[in-house]
Amino acid sequence: MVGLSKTFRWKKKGVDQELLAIDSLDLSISKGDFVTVIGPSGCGKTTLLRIVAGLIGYDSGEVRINGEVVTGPGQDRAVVFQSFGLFPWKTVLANTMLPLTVRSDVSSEEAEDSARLNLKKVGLSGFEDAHPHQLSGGMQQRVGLARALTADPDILLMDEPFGSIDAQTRLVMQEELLRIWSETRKTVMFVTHDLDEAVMLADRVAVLSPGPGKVQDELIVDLPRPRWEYDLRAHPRFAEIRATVWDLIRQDTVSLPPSAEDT
Amino acid sequence: MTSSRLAPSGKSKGPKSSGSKPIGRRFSFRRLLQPEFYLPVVVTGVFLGAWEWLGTITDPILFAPPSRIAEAAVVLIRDGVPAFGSKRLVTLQSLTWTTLNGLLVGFAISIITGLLIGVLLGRHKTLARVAEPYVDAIYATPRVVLTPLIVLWFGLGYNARLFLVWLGATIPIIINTAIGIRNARPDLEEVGHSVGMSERQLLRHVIMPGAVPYVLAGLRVAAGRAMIGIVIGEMFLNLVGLGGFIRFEGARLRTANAFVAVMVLGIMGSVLISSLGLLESKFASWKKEERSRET
Repeated sequence: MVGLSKTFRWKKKGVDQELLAIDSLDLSISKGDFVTVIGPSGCGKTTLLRIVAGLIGYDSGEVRINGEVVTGPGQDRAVVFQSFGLFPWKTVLANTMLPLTVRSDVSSEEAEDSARLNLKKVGLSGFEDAHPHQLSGGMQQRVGLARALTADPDILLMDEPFGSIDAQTRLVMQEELLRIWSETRKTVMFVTHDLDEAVMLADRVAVLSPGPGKVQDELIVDLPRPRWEYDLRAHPRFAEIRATVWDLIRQDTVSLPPSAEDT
Repeated sequence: MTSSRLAPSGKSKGPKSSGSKPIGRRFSFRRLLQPEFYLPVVVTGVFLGAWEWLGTITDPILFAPPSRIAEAAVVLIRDGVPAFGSKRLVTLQSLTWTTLNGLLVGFAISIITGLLIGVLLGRHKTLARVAEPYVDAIYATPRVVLTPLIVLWFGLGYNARLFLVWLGATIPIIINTAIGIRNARPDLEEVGHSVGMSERQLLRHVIMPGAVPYVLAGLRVAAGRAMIGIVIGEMFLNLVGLGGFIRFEGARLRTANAFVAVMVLGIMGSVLISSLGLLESKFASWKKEERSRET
């Protein structure tokens, strides 16, 4: 059932110097899908996410969600940022409640209840009155996730959310994300540059070509879920998919000087 | 929206132990023995002792020793002293009130106007560029130089004093507020957009709170300049309040009385500035944490 689809076609982005970030990109995401977007640096994957979020515009083509064209940010989408984006002067609870406090149709009790619930989901009960600077990086991003969940969006947009987090915490967060996601099964668009992460989390991996970006290829990750119940990395299919993704990116990233030996 | 402070004990589930106060009894005698505490006390004691001794060997008119100052203070508080050429008794309290009144009213007006103009200049870059040379010029001009003009415009009394306070205090508030507003974090503005904030909500939730530390810093500078303003007004226009008292008593060589007023002014200033510092630690403590993190 296609309850949700997004199609990008042409896109050109002009800055002071013209920079074509995304060119004729097509991507379709279905409801409940977990899609990872990966590609070499500068391929425009973060730009893509921002467009879907409604934070920046686009020059040509269309972005549609549930059939409606995207013109700006909306209640159907929520973003988790790489830099966490928490307000240092607000408490954890106030930060989490933010998407609801700005809405006039939600009472503050409802907002608070919802925030507390989501903080519980990410394992931060008891920290409601703390301030972000008192928390570690991993915990701060959990607040970011709780905030996005509190917005109760149809689509969760995650922009390299674990990029600023140390490697060990990252592994923990990935697993937790899968758990939380499996409870709600929201549609997720997850941008990353980490190959393992891309394959491990996704139903589908969209590999972008180097800038200006297009979708080079889409790979279906048919590894069984739930993925934390077995040793994912030991699964042969994991290695296969990962290798395929890496081959695609490697060709783009590694620019070797021309030599007689090279293909 | 009140938030009860979480006790950052560092022993609980996982938050980083930041530079937080150690948990323990707030006051203990052991703390008195800490060098941070007894050193200033000792130094002050030595200073007062030296002053007292100097006072006894030099002319008491030039050098009112602390003991005489204390005596004068007692008289001033209890009975009052004939001042400003009239036979009416004037107490230290009434002098202090006069000065405080002018200071606080002027400061309040400058806070209101300063914040409004600062926000305006912070948000509209072109306006700021136009206004900047004038703001800087006023800031750099010593107010004493302007007193003849001020007398012409406002006379010699209360209004003129208010203006002097206002002139000195408003500019730093404007400058710092504008900077604070301009330094709004763009990443947080983006977060604001992503959750669907309107321009007004953005101002209220992202820009203004982010500007608070800068505004408070501006208030601290402004407080100092406000003090100068009120004293100038009291000394060079109608002689009133503590400033006027200092000038009058000083001219009549009643140095002990003058010193009492000087000390009260000093205390007034430090109370004002440290209470602003307290505000800063209450509302802007996150900024210091942020800065110490960016190493």
